Amino acid sequence: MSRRMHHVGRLKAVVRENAVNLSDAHCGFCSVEDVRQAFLKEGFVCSWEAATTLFLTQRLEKPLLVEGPAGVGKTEIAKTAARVFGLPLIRLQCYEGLDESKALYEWQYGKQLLYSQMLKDRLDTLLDGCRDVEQSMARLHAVKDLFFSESFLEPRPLLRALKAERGAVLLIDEVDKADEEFEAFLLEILSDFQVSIPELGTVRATQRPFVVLTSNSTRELGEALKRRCLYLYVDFPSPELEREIVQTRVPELPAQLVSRLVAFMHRVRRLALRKAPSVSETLDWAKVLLVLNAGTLDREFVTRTLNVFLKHEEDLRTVAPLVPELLAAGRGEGA
Amino acid sequence: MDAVLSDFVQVLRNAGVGVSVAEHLDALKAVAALGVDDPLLLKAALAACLVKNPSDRPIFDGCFHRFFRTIPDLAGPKALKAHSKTGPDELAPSTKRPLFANRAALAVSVAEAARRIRLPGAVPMLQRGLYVQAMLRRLEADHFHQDVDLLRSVGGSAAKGHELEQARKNLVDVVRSFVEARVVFDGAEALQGAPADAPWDAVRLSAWERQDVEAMHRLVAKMVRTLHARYGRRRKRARVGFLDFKASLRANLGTQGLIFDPRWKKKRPDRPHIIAVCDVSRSVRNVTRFFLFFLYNLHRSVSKIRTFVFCSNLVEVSNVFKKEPLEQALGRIETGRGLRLNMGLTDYGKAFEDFASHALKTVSRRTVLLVLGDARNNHDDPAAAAFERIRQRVRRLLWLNPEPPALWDTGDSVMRVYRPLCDAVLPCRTLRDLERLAELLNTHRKEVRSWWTMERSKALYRTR
Repeated sequence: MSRRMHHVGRLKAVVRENAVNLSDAHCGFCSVEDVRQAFLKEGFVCSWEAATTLFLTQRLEKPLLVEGPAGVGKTEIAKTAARVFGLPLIRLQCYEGLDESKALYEWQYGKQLLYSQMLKDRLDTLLDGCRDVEQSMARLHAVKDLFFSESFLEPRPLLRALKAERGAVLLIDEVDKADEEFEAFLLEILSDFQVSIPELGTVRATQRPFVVLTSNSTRELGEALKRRCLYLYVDFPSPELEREIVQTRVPELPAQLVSRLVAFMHRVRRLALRKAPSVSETLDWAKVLLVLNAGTLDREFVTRTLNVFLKHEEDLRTVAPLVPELLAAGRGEGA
Repeated sequence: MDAVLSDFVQVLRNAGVGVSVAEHLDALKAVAALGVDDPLLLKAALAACLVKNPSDRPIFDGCFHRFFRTIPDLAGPKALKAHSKTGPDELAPSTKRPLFANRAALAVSVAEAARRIRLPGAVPMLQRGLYVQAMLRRLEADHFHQDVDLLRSVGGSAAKGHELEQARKNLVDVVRSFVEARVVFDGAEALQGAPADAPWDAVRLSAWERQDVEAMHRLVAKMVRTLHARYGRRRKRARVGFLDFKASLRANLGTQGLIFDPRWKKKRPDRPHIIAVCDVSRSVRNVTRFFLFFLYNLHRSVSKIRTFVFCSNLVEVSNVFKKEPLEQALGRIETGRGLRLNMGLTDYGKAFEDFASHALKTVSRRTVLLVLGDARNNHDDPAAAAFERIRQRVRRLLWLNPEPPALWDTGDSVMRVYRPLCDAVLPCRTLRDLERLAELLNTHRKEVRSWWTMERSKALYRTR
């Protein structure tokens, strides 16, 4: 083959690559604003920071690690991403003691046993006429690994995500709850999107999944894991952002009530509570307001529904006497 | 942008944020994907790639703000863009940048130029202008004039020429503030970074923020306690000492001089009178600020203390310290407002001459003189004779240098002149250094000498 032919081949490869890139760009986002709009359409309000990070996650094809207090919408990011991309959401809930067989794959022992029983006769005929053990082993080897093939493999979330043909959104939820060993086990998947199964070899992702890991920082995650991910810290939103979130999620609520609600929540968060109410609690409360058809935030209503967003007895006791004060402060700010 | 980003990563590492090579590569890809048009997005993108601990985030924000500090400083391009009808193609690319491109892109090109001319991390104050000129050459600022001529020749209005001139001025401002940022930022801080998780006492002074006020109070309180413990205590010797005749007579006047109540001579060690002389010029400002802060606290708890500050001349600020609240006092000293403090080039020689001629009468044999400064005298006369005169009058002379010992005597630093005259020269960069100073203040001269010989081999030259 001449050198020129070689060149032509390479050129073609380059052109093909570019074509792929182009089509990728079409299905992906062109700008951060696109991301924001797409997520907004699905009812998720992103801050600029979150939108930028999501855009990069998708562009750089790296996993995204989201940290932050409970209830600020970490998991929601993955769920919304699945809707935005039109991909299946595969969720792996982490807990202490989670291991490979729960996360990656498992052999279907029952099925294997059943099949071996059913195929007993066949095996007998196969091994018919063998003089000794060696010969029968040789014949068995000639047949492929029947019982350790993919048909007996039960794929768990991680493997499912790798094998999803169109790609998937993989949500590894509360990764800080899993053991450190499991974290180390994740490294291969997160950096190369492949996994080694001793009986089958290496399984590589056909289409890289969009991976979101969430953590409540109950323990510090390993540096190795963090290094492989893009990082997003989601904090309690600013009042403006939270107003936007409530308005998007509970559009029936009048705007004035929304801003009073959010302002009240922000003041509650400033108190020293065991568990500060989060965005999800704000939304719950907004829905309660709607269901109970409350026109305003008055003292009686607030006191009655405190337990919607305060989940600790002590917190209830702390906040209850302060309700008039918190409401009054709001009115002052409003005026 | 690649090179600029490397610099930024280096700055982050110096500040104690661990950035791996992989993360650096991610950041490069992220910037390639997003561009540098929007500072907000650039910041978010870099944060997502480089900062993986929420506790590092404030450090990142600070570094980002200061590294790309030209971004908010630039005002105007948008307005210019609106009504500039000259085809942008006719102008040189260097002219287009400040005129038409956005702020972040300009910041990047400025940083790029800094790299090309090898702008050092710490720019000596005197060479500022030199570097500014070199940067402008690199940025082809001259093209502006050509473009102005071009505009005139094609019949462009004078207003547009004026716009271009304005843009050039803008560029010069940006470059100048960039170089000046180096003078302060890298020079004083990024030279040696302490790891982020270092214990509180090893945190560099300049990284101190308001929340550390408490720690400083504790330190000063501790120091004052040891001072009192050492000098306030009457020694047992007093009971077996000699009769203090004068005191006994005074005390027994009521009994017509018959000594019923004898008074004894007491040996009380001399409590040191502290006089601090502190350089407040820009080059050491970050460190001085905390040293002043320390002195301020000391003023509150020790009565025998006076503080002088100097830049081009020497001024006493003890009253400011005694009477004004902290922020106000520090602010006044730093700006020299109402103090007759001349904030020109730092002049150690003049400062010591001022001290020798005006303040020497305040010096007693109990005085411990603290000098804080980097001894960067801008190649002026160090006035060693004046310093020698001061030295002869004070009990002890301690020099605190905010620079690491490796940098002493480099460039225009004249530590070699002052060092032989001091009882001890110590780096003053961390709270631990300050603690050591507190110990030194409490030891006698002889002990200081021995401490000095002992330490000379290890602590002071550790960084060499």
